[in-house]
Amino acid sequence: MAYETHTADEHSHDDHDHKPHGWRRWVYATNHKDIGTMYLIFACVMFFIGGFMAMIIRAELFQPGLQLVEPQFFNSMTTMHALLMIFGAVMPAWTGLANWMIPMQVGAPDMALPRLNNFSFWILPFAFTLLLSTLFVPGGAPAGGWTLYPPLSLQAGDGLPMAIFAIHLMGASSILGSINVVVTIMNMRAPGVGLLNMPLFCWSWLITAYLLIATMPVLAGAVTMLLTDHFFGTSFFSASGGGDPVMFQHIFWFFGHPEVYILILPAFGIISEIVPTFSRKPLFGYDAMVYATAAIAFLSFIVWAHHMFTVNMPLAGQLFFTLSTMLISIPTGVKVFNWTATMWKGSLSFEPPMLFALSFLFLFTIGGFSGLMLAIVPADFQYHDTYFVVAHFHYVLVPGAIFAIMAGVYYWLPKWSGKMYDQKLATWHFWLSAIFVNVLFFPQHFLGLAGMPRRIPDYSVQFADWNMVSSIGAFGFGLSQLLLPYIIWKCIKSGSKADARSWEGAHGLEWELSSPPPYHSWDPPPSREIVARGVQH
Amino acid sequence: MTPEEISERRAKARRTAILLGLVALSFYVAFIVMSVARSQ
Repeated sequence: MAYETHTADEHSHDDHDHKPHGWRRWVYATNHKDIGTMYLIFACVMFFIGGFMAMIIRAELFQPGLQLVEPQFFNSMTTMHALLMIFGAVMPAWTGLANWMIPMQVGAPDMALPRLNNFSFWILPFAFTLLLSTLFVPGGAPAGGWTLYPPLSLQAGDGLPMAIFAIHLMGASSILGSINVVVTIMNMRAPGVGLLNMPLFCWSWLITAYLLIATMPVLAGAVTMLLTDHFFGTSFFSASGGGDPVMFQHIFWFFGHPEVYILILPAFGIISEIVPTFSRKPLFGYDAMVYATAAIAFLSFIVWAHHMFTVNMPLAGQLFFTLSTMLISIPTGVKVFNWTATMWKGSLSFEPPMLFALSFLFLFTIGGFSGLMLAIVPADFQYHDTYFVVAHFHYVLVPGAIFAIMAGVYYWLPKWSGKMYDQKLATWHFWLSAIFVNVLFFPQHFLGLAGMPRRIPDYSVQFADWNMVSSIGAFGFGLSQLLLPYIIWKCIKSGSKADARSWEGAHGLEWELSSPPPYHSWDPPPSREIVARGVQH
Repeated sequence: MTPEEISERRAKARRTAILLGLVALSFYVAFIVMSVARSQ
């Protein structure tokens, strides 16, 4: 090994390595790696449950007519699939990656508030058990869509208050986790790790954490008011009592649009780590990337009403929200340009993390372009509530956020486990995912443009062909995801030993630690020499 | 790090966490108060 690294043995002499064993290690976990692992396992379980719901949806839509499920249950599936994937799979996966990587990347021994970290995680299993149990109560699970628009959402059965309590719990977990991230990055950086030389994954998470702290309480406020409208006789959103249902949409999307960036900004951070590694070049325009991320976060607060152009807002409002939405393409374009420029004349190699990152670059951009189309008011009047919107946000979230999570897992798995995974199998996982994700979602653009509405279990026969193609894509994509847990299991069980610097071009403090890293990552903090070797520039 | 530096860092971390918690709480309360004011 070319570099001197901190190893588990160096740390085993002191009392910091007295880790608990058995179930206590996990239930009382305060170690950032253990909590990160639990977050990632939880996200994986939710991904498969949410994915199973997607399979039910696509099986029903395989051909016109009602075949498999009742319409009410179909609507519950679309609602629960969204809630599970957003709050149960993608967000916990990001928090898991943050837990694993941020202390190692900033030279800290652990997260700043380890017991709060434990609490943040253990809220989640209770929240999602509560949410999933709504499937078994009278009236069934919420079926009005994940946006919970009243008055439809208020017509739900006993599942509504349970779902609202579950959303409060998820929000509390996210806020506490975000506070921990901010406090860790602001207070625990090793000497020499400055704000403008820490890895972009830390930067993107720092900005995401601020977004979460500002917006999750807004969602909590909105659903609290739904609850009081339903049970305590208030009329915030009930027109019959003098309330305004459109006000819910404004409040919801004031949370909901920044939420989209909460799901995608950490992905930008991961891609900014992976592209330089496999291009064997430093990232092009580090400072511009930081400012672009901050600009996207700021703009995400002033575009919310583009989700609700059809509520008939004044022309000035339409123009403002169209133009502010289009403005987001500028910092996003800066990012895409910088990733491309990083690869320019680089010594590229195409290991699984790079394949997922490149795929992200192409496919996320397609999702971005269809977003621009949706920002144009007259066009949006046609596209609104059609499968075009479904195609758009799935391109952003599946080959966007989820591919970036896959890229991150394949990038850091050798570091976490100390073993190298089967790269051939992971390459198969990539190609199957990349092909089937396009078979699944690209035809939905055509369906939407032809006028097929979203959230319906049956449809007119002219939509039959592309729905069948889309469902075949869904089954292929769903099945190919089973490779991921198998690859991880095989890696842990029989992978070959990984080097501390598992990838030739990798830079960053995490690669200065042994693989797997010691129980407390940087205790004592890294020396100035190690920091100088590890930081971005 | 000296014990004084460690305890100072802990205090700073606690202060930052409390401040951020209060920011989150104020967003929650502000949006409900705003909605109450609007619906009157």
